[in-house]
Amino acid sequence: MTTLAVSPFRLWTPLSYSIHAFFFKPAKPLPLAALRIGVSCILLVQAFLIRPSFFAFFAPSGLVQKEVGSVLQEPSMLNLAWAVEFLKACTGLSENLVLTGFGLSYVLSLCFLLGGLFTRRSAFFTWLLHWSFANTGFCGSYGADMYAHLFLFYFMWIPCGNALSLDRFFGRASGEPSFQARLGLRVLQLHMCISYLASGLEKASGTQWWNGEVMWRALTTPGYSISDFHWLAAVPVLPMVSGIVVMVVEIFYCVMVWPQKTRLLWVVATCALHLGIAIFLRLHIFGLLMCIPTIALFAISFEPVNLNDQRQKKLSRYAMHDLHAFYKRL
Amino acid sequence: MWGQVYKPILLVAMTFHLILVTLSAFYIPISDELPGKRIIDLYRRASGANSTYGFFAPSLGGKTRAVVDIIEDNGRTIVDLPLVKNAGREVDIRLGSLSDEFIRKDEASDETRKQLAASLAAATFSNHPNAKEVMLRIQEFWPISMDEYRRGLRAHWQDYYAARFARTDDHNSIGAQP
Repeated sequence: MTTLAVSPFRLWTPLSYSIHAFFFKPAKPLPLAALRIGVSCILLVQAFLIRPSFFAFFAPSGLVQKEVGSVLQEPSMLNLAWAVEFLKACTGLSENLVLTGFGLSYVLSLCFLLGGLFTRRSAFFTWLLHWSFANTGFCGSYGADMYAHLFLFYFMWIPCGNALSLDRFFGRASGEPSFQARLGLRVLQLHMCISYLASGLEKASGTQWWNGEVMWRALTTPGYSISDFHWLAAVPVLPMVSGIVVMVVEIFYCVMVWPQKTRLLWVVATCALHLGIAIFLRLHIFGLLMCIPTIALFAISFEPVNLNDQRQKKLSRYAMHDLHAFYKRL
Repeated sequence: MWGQVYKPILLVAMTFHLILVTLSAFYIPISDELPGKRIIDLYRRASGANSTYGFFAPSLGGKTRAVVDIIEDNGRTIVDLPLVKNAGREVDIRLGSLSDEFIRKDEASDETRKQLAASLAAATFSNHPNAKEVMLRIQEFWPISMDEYRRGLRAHWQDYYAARFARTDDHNSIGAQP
């Protein structure tokens, strides 16, 4: 009697090979470096834009005074209030001067991160200060800050300083393809897929995205709108189609961004969606920040040019040709 | 060699991280009885794995803003001043989040509102040394539907919360007047 049972080990081997190839095959760190540079640039611009209201948001005597801030914020979370108090007591400097010091440290660490100088350490300090500022006073964090926080967290672990960096220039980092680069890239790619899927499905669960009301409301609410979009009420099909397109782009992002054939289309569609948000809803920082991961993680090649692979393909082509000629002769 | 040892560990860590990301993204709570819940929560906050991604979803609600009216010592009244002068869009978004705190409906909301209003008034007094009285108004804008617009209805800002504050001379402090 013939046994048809397949050994689980025989199934596991190709699966483990696929997992290994997907997560650990050496990859170039270039996309991670591009993400690092893009995010750092946007955060520097954001810091510049917030600069005039810095004390209003973060100083203990600003818009939200220290006592009220502690009610609004999670008290157990890391914040700069205690550090300001401590340094004020130790050095006799004013609160505003100490806060200015922290603000300049944040900008400086962002500059180091942008240039890729002591990348991991600067990523750590940027992440720490960014998180601390988010829990100090009242900074009114929104989507852009949330994404910035998670990218900065990733920058501490992934080899984002191994390309296009001063660390690489000074020989402190290797620009060689590594399994760490691919793993970092895969985590970020999967994270983006999860976030778009969740965002798209949540949108699809409400009626406003299906009948175009959300587009209409966003474009006609003061503060968001750049122009008078009330004319859209006469052509309701336009906001309706736009809403559905947004849901399609977000929900199918996790599927369509992987195959070579649809990748470029989805990268362009996603960037167009975010540029639309940046322009029409005046969410400039958020819109631009969200274009960067899709371009960096999916549009920039990370596969190392392997001469051996190319030679192998050529050889196998010749071998097939020889084999064919041999059979013909026979 | 290094890679062979750490690759499985890294894979497990990555899977754990992405599971946390997925749970938060789809609003799946983690049981309080789970061992190490506090550490997991701290990690989620530190890594951003606690984020949700429902921007403008499932629907778009109202928008809030805070404006102040000032009565100066000489009796001059200035109305509808923003909390921060010449605020750009990036600052404006954050001010919107601040005024949103007034419409949150939680247990401590009344007391929090009073404290927050007093804090905003104090900031306004310090920015306007000539101000005798400050009236803080939190306004709400509820957009109307396309159908309502076609029927001639129009949306506008409405006062949701208001508090008047006067500078008291005796202690140079600020007192709320009912």
